[in-house]
Amino acid sequence: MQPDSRHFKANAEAALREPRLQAALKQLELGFVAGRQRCYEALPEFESLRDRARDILDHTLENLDAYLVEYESRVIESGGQVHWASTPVQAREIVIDICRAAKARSVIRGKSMVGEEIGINDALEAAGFEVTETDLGEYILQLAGEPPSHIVAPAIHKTREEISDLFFEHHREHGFTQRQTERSALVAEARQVLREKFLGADVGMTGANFLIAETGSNVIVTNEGNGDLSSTLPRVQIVTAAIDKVVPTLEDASLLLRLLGRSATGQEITAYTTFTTGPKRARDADGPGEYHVVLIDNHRSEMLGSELRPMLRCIRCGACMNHCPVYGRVGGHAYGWVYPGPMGSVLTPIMVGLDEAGHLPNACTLNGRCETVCPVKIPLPTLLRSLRRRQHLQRQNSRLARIALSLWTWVALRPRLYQALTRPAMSLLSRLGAKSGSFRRMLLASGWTRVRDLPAPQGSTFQARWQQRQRGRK
Amino acid sequence: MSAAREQVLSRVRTALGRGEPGDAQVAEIRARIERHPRHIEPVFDEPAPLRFRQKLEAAEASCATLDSLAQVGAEVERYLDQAGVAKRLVVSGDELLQSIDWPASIDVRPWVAGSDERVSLTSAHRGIAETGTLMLLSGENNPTRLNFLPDYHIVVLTADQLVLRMEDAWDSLRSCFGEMPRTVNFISGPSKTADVEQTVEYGAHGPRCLHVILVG
Amino acid sequence: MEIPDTNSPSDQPHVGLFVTCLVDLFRPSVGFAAVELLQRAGCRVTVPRAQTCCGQPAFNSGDDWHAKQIAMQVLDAFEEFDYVVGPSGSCMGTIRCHYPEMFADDSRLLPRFEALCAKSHELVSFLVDVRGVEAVEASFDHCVTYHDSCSALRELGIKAQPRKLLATVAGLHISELQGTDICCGFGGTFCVKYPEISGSMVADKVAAVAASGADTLLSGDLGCLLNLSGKLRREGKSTRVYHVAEVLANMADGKSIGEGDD
Repeated sequence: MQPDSRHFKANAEAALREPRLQAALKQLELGFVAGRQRCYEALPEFESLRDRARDILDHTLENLDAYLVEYESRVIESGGQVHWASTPVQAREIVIDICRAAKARSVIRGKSMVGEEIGINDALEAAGFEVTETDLGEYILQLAGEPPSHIVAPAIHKTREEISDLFFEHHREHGFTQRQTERSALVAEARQVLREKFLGADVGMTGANFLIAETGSNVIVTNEGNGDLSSTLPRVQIVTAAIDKVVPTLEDASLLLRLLGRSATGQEITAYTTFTTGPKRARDADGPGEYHVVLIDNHRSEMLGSELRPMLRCIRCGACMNHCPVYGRVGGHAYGWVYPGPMGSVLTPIMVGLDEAGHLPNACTLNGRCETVCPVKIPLPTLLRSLRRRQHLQRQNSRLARIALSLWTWVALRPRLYQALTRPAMSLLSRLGAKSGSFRRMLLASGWTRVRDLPAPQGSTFQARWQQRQRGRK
Repeated sequence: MSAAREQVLSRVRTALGRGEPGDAQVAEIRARIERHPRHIEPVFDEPAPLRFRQKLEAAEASCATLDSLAQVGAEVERYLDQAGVAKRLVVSGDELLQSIDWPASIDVRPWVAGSDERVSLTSAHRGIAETGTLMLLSGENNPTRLNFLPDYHIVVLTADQLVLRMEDAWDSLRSCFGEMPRTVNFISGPSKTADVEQTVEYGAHGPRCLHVILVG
Repeated sequence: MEIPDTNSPSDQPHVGLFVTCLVDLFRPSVGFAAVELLQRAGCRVTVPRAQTCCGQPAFNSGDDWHAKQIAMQVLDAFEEFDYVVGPSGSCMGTIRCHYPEMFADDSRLLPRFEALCAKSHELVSFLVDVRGVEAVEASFDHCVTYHDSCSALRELGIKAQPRKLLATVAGLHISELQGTDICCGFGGTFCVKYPEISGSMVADKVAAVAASGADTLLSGDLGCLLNLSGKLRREGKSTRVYHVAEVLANMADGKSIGEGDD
């Protein structure tokens, strides 16, 4: 998808004026946040699991090349094929070549964020393939022609009425002429439409929550079972996965799984967790005849060599965005690309460029709630601050902000001057504001006073009054 | 695309500040894989069968406990009656299931490609008490599709197949088979989605109902 | 050694008061309340003149060079004291958590910053955790609610301490806020860079304050308090807003933050 992060501010302001989106986002605290909290309280080991998860992933990243090569060997031994891609362009070419070689017509997709990242749907459609998303949320968005707005619950911004309209419009051709409005009827209708797609598909594409170096397996975590049907029914399976998805062993994955569902949706475990290894074996009753993995770098190796390395621990649970007060106000689309919220504010500038996504590291209060819930302890505020540092060094932040900050620090480094300037200034402001106690408008502070009053200072500065008091005492 | 392979790996190595991993490093990571150390495993006090059942029921699966395999036929009939579905059943070729005596009222067929798959009956390799999870393996007698295509999925499991945690299930898998089956499904309840208004609905793509029969 | 600004026996620990720029500029009474509380807790207090800001605006804007200059100014002004105490979780969080981070690669200065970090405390946590204060002599006949600032809560782990002392204030009743771990939308320069988002966040917080039924809002950080008070005034609410130190020092008898003569 074409990034639109440079319009974050305008998009965010539009989102704030969208009552249906606001109502949907309010649900986050009651649903995902409360669910995670219940899991947290029910599991005394939660904190030690987080520490261990961080350590396992750090160890893996420190040996990433070796684990990737081990993983690759196991996939090949199990009869699968591994393809490597530095860039989204390469990844798309690989996928299209596989589909062409298989003489495929239709492709079904299980939800995959890296698939969104490389823009696989548009590329496949442009190459003449019929592509169907099968995760219900992704399917709804495919009908609507929209990108996901949450990495776990992609259609979180869609109301039942909108879904009802979409299905009524698009399912007519499948023989559904009644407009359904009940949740259960909507889900049942999508199930029937998509069941036909599953049964008729040539290629099933999925992502991977983890790749296991020990066995060459990919792991898919779902509640719907769509990822499983996608990896079972078609004759060709393609797994797109980023290089940071590899973990050493089944036991390592088991530990991470304990954190993933709890952090994502407040589930101890999702309905389906599936480990898939290679294509159908000779004696197997079913399964695809071909199994391909596309390993995608897309700037991850660059992050590995920088202070942003901890970001590669991310297991895509979405807890950071669920707990982010900014995401909770503006929703995922405002961020303008595939990954929203705190994790997206780190990844997007790296993947689409800091010039395009310069707002994202700044649209954050550094309140740190994301870091406290991150299951793998990514120091998100620190990483966002790192990106601000890069912007500062590359002079990519606003000129006005730079000048204001430089002026403040210049004065702040000269305490006598600071005190000489602030004392009369505060006295004046205090007198001007004494009557009403706060200012409704203030020159040079319109950002503040647009939405709230500015409380007037009490009087002279503390330093001035303190020195006066000390003099009186002596 | 071996050029891309070399490019990705060399970028990773540059980022890590070194060249190709030395023999010692490779030996070390292989040894770690060989050891596959267990990590922190949550403690619980309940007996395994109770925990298993409670967790499954919390996930909206149903569960019946029977004394012997001989009672399975009657239990399946009861379940189908209660669910109000036609008594037609596709049964996987799993050995455990072949010894069940079926009441004449149930139309039981072994799975073949193209079966009507509205109700399926399978076994599982293990049941995991910690999370109320079934571990099912693909194979000659166990088509994975039987775990996902039907509306009703009935799973028969014997009490000695219960383990405490996923790590125990891995140990069991390693000792029973030399290699990973093509598919290992961990199933912890019926298929569901919360993609419409963040509210859970069952039967998204997979079974609407999961019924577990624990024997012994 | 700088001569203490307050007259007390010399065996008492000597505290350098880090006033914080917002208290210095907007709410001097919080500084006086802090001095009062520290003295009552048996400390000698000095207010170094060579202090202005902790450097957080520069640090959070990615301007490490200036942030470090200011950090060194703070180091020079406060290094000699037994403790550095400030009435702000945000500024003390910067000193405690971020100064050592800024100088992580500076083997000469790092030990000095680590030592500074170890003796720097937010005011209320200092009173409770370091000085063992169990109760305060104060009365405040109001139903109050308490906003945890994010830096105090998450960088410094301060949650129980202010509540513990507030519980000993005569006449005071606490009604907890819903969503007390959610940011109020201040976020330093964030609130002026993204006013609409910030405004939406503080609107929710103000609604939670109203829902708590409290007539007074307290917090330990003036940034949050100015934001919250500003929004309350904008919405025409009469909720009184004080820094927690003012109530604990029994000095919350003047005009509350943002309150006028009218």
